[in-house]
Amino acid sequence: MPVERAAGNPTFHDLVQQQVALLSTKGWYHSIELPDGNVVKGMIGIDALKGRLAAFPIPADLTGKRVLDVGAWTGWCSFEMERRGAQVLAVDCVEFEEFREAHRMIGSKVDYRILDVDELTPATVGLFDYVLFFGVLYHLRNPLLGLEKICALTKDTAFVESFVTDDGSAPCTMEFYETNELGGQIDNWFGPSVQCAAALCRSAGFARVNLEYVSERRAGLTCRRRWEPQPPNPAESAPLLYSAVNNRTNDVQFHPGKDEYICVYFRSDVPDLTRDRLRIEIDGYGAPVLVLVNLRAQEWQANLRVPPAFAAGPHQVRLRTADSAFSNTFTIVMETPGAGRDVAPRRAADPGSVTAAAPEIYEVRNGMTESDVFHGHRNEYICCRFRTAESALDRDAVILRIDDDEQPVLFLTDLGGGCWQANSRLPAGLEQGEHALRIRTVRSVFSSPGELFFQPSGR
Amino acid sequence: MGLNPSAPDPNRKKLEELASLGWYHSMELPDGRVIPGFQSLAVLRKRLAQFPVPADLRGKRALDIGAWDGWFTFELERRGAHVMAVDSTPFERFRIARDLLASQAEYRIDDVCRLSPAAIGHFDIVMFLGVLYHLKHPMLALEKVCELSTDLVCVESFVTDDGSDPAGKPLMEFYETTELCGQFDNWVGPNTACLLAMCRSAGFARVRLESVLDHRAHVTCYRRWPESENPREPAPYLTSVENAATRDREFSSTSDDYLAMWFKSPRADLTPADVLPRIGPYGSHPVFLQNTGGDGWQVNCKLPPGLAPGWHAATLRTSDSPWGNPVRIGVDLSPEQRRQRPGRTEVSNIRIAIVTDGITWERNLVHTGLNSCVSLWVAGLPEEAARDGIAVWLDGDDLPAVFLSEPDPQGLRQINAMLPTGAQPGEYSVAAGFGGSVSAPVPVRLV
Repeated sequence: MPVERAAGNPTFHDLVQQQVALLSTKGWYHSIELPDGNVVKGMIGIDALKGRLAAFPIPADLTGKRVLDVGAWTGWCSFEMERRGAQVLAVDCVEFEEFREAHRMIGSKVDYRILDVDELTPATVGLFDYVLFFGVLYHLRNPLLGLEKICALTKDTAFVESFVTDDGSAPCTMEFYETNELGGQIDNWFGPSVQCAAALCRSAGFARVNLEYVSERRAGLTCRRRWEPQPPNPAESAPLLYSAVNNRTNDVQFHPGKDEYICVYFRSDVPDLTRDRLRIEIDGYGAPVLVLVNLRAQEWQANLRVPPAFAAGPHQVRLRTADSAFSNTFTIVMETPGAGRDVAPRRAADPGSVTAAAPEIYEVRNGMTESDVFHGHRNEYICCRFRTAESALDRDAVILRIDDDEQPVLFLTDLGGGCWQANSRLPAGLEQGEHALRIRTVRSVFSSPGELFFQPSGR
Repeated sequence: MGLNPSAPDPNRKKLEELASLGWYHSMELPDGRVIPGFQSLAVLRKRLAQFPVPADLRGKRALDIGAWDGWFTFELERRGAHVMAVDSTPFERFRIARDLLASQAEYRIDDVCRLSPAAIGHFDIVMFLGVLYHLKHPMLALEKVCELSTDLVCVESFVTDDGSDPAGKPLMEFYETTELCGQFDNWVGPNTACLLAMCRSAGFARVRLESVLDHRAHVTCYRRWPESENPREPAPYLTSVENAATRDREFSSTSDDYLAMWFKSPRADLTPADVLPRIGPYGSHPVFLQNTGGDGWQVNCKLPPGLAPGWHAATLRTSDSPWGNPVRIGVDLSPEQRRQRPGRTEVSNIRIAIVTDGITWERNLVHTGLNSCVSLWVAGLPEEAARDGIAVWLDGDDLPAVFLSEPDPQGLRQINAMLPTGAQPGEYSVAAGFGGSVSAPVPVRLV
């Protein structure tokens, strides 16, 4: 059945305008059930409100959970979440007297605040187990920014309900409403197709997005930040995670204010791996893979966007396939906002703490060219591969020195079989010619030198 | 092209080395030789020629967003502008070219959505070429660009169509991963109609499609209206200007505020294209226009971005008229600025000239009923008088003032005050006050 456009459709326009007229006479938008069983009748009946909520997998018992209701209006959803045991924050962009009145009549303890979606941050309102985002998306001038804000506040699941332009068959597009094209109302900005609404939710940083329903130009989407539980008896073997680096800078540092992408390098013996079969997570928050590349036999690279709102400090990356256990973890670092990128070199360890044998360098390579010659290009980094009998090393436990100067280890990875790779930058002002690279751990003395050759470009 | 392998040239090796860096923009050196890039000089000149950029930019400040190797930056500088180039990641080639050309252009690494006038100031001309479709929040970026500009913005973007239907339905594709050209740094693909609509909604006075060449649309965005030369229509008379949401005279630059402007014009056939609102120096196009009866009109428009905190004059003209009377509005007022409302004068001699109602217009007679008002024409109110500071008394009962007009040519201002529900017919007296001064009472009969 062909889908007619809602914008400019006289039937749809009349329907909305009838609702607006009804609202101005009825007063209340949501109907509200009072403790004594009486109902304050609003434009939307109790059955319709219950029906909309029932379409989402929201737990019946929310005891001990924090729930955010964005665009609360009269507050029926807020009060229903509270009835299920949740601690609820209701927010709206304008204050509704009817919310206050219903709040008083019910004797509710729901916190009510007047905030724009842009103003919602973990710093201002905290984090929530569940977020209701009903009937707001298409009123935003920057819908993806709004969903990113919602994702950053969500610990578990956000439930998104929106106007959509089609029945699910249209491509991934959104209509733009400059004035009152949609329903004669000027507060509508973007109408996404069903596919676009789901894509926006995934791009905002949710791991899993499930379309619950499409009906009469409304869609319901369940947006989860975590992957499904690991299968109890996985049939595939767990991947080996080599490293996870910033695709912009090739190191393990990520900037909290930027749109950052992460390249995850791993080994997996699962044949014909596809990106929808990968489950990559950072501190338990999943993110969908955007690009998956088979580098060599069983060697893979997956690119994904860093999901929102990690605090400054270290965070653990790991991955599994749909039917495997999780890999080892790899540590990335979220920078402190406004802090510089440089890692301060550390002092030499106390000789008394030497308890391990020195590592052995077996290869020094230019990360761009895989040769041992360096030219001073901006994206050049040193890959130093070494063997050690030590295990469970982390980046802070490895010290790298070029000639006599310590260089920060930007990332470290376990290549397996006692082999490791440490990456570092070239120091500034290096002379043309041969240079010695040594490495040690906090428990060892320095290795014998490896060599690199510096041949500045343009000479 | 500048590379001639047969001519002995001591600098040839240097030029070859430069060329090997992989340039996107070709670059013409001061001695006339050219570093060849992916885009030839002819292509770059053609891109720039799509826009009405003046040949002489002396004394102007220009901003080049997404400068890449910098050809547009250096070309605007060559025309005399002070240029700031901005990119999201640093390009070594930009710095090399800047040195080779001895350019004074500033180079700043920043995201578009983080740019602000507080950090980098305002610009007469902004180049926003080939950036929009790489952004996740295109409206936010266009609003930022509008806020930074004082006159002219050149927008070039990928579009999904050939530009043959610029008044069609605005539609934008969304690219979740690598759908567009296999690159995952593309986020949105608007059609030409959508690009134009988003530029208008960002806050520009007028937006003009220059061309669409090979899925690239070139759009010129203007922040100002042109002056009308030899106007033949009389100036409109503004009766009131309010914040369309809060109904007062104050506006916030951060909350997508709209002005509602009431005015009188002898033109009976006005369309939105004929009405040109202006706030401070910036134009803003109508998003809503209606006739309110007779020669009365209401127009709504967006508060244009980039106005400094303080008081600004709002006015408007019609397509062939001079500007109407200015009405002051406040933007992001500090408490200090709120106290220092311009034109503050001592209140003197408030006098009710006319009492009537809005139904029969009979003098000193008001019909009671649902939503009925007493309308006063009052002399002696100062310019800073606002609706919420006006008091109207009916035999000592305080009536809420719901409307206050600007002074008419005789200096009278109209006040509408709501009658209480259930007001009984009879003889009353009415008085008006502002700032501690009260008019003499005037008799009125309620029927």
